[in-house]
Amino acid sequence: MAVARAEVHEALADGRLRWGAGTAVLLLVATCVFGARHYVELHREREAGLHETTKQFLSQSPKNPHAGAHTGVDAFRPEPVLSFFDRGVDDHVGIDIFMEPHHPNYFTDVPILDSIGTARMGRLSGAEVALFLLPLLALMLAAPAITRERERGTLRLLLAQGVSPAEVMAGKLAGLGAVLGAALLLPAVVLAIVLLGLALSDPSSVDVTRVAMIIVAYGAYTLAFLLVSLAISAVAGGTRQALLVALGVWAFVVLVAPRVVDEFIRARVPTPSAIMFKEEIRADPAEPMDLLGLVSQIDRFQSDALKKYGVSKVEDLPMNIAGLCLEDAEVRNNRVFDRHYNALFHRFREQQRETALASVLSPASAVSLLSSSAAGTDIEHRLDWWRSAETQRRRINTILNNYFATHSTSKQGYEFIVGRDVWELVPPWRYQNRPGTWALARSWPALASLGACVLMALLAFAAATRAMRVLA
Amino acid sequence: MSVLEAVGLRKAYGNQVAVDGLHLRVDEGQIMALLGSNGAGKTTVLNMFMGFVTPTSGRAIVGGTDVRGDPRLARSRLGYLPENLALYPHLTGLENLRYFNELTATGRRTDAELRSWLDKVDLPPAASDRKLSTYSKGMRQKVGLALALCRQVSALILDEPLSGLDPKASNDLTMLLRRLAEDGVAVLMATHDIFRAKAVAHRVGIMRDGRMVADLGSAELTVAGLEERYLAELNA
Repeated sequence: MAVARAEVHEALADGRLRWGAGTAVLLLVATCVFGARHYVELHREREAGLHETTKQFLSQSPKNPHAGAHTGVDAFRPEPVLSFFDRGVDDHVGIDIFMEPHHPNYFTDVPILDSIGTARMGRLSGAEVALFLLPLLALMLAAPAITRERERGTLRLLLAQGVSPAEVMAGKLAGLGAVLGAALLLPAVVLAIVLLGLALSDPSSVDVTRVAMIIVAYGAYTLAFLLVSLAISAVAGGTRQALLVALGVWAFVVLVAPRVVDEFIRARVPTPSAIMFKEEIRADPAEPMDLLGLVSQIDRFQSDALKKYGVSKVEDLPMNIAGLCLEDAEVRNNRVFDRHYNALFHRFREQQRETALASVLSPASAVSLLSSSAAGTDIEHRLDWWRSAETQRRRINTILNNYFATHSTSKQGYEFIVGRDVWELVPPWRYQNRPGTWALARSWPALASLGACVLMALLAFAAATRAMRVLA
Repeated sequence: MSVLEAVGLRKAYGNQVAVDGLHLRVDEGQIMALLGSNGAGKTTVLNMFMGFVTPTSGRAIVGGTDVRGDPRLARSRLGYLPENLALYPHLTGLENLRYFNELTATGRRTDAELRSWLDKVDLPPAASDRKLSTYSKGMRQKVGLALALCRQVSALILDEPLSGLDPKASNDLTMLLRRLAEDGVAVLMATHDIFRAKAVAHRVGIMRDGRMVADLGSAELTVAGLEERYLAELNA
């Protein structure tokens, strides 16, 4: 405890550290406050968008049910609360899917395009500040911790009192942990106030599991850097060397390794570009979207229906063959889309899992994955939203096609016109953000990798404690 | 009874031998001074007793405990004053003493007790509450001495303890070490000061090139004789 107290005392007395920590803390606070303001704007915009698109669909003019389906509905993605801290893929991937018959659409309305000035190139988020600056702060504090004692000659005196190297290292770790904890108190309070403010307007928006995931992820990440920096300090030849080596570790872990891992995974688990993906679907032999295919389906449907109902003319059928045919085409098309989209999403997941496992080399990657998952802004949440919107798209088409088929006759064909009472048959939809436990269950590879990183840092810490250099 | 003992102690850094097969023994109540020029191996011997340097071969023993086997136990029996002592500059003399004292396994001493140790090493009372960054080298040395002494250990390892002390403080320390020896404390000190070595030590070891070339008992110790022998050994 005495070593820990002395470390706190010394760190607080160091003006350079006060400035460094102060800058990092202010940046963290500022990004969170700006992030919260941005969240409120986006939240209002999306809610208004959802309201407007539903209103437009319900108030469309009377027309054929299938034509009504073509009016379409926007599936705006509700902004997750913790996106104010971690934007994840949110700024670069569209926040809307236009739901219409025949085929699913891609994400549209990319938020970054609505930004101005330098924000178009990306907005600095609290998560990025934490990802880059927390380890930098940890190494600034820890890398000189032992070398300074050694160079000053006080390390010998500490050990001469009967204190073991392990106690010195543990004391330093506890003291520096307390200093970092105290430095992060202000951002923590700001985060708590922001979350409390959002919880007051919508209590269901704040999820304790998600907040805990963020705290654990950045806590473990910072701890790993503290452990490694102290280990470097214990065996380095001097303070300058310790700082340089620790800075090298930071650059590798935060800047180099994530990029190397990405390239490696991209080579191992390649995914097609958006254009190639469309081409793949178009080239699918089962693809029934072309006009000839559709006409041949109508012919087959007509002959089957005439046989089934024992009539000789389409006009005598008790239902509208066009509606049946449209719904059948939807079902057949959806099978094709499911095969392609499932394969694509499987690849995305494989990439995510492999990135998470490979991030044992770089806790920064593991923390990014965990943090964006906790914030609900990662690719997994994106795909979940897409699936939910796709289910609704199919629901709209099925309801309107079936209504078309069963409430009109083939004689009426597309002349069958309906109004608001039919549009209201479509149940209202809005994407419900998943609970934190859902995100947690999907984050185990990143959690395991981060745990392995902390374990390796602990082993390095233990080994360096045994090999501690006492004399300068 | 032996408190400090070196048995065939050797330390080599690659081809360079710092200490070569050293044997020495310091009994309870005995003060031994190691004399020798720079690089003779005196500090390395002390560092091996403190466990800061691992011997290449041989053993350093403190109170029957091999330092390499249990450095922590060995250190708990030793008071230590390094050469070029530097304490925490942002703490006062008393705070430095208090801090290191809190770390010892033998329990805390009160501020009054700590002040009395600062007083025993002749640190001006007003200085004990000033930050160490305002101290002279001699004053820092006195705080270091107080630190080594206040734990009331069975042996002291002192590296150039008189360095930087004024003549009065130097004389006071000599008397203090003598008194501690009378109480049974064993002292092993490295020094360049032949006069003080003669004044304080019961035995003087002369080191050259990592070897103990002479081990002189009190009967052989006269200032003139010691100086003559020392110079002869250095020039041999």
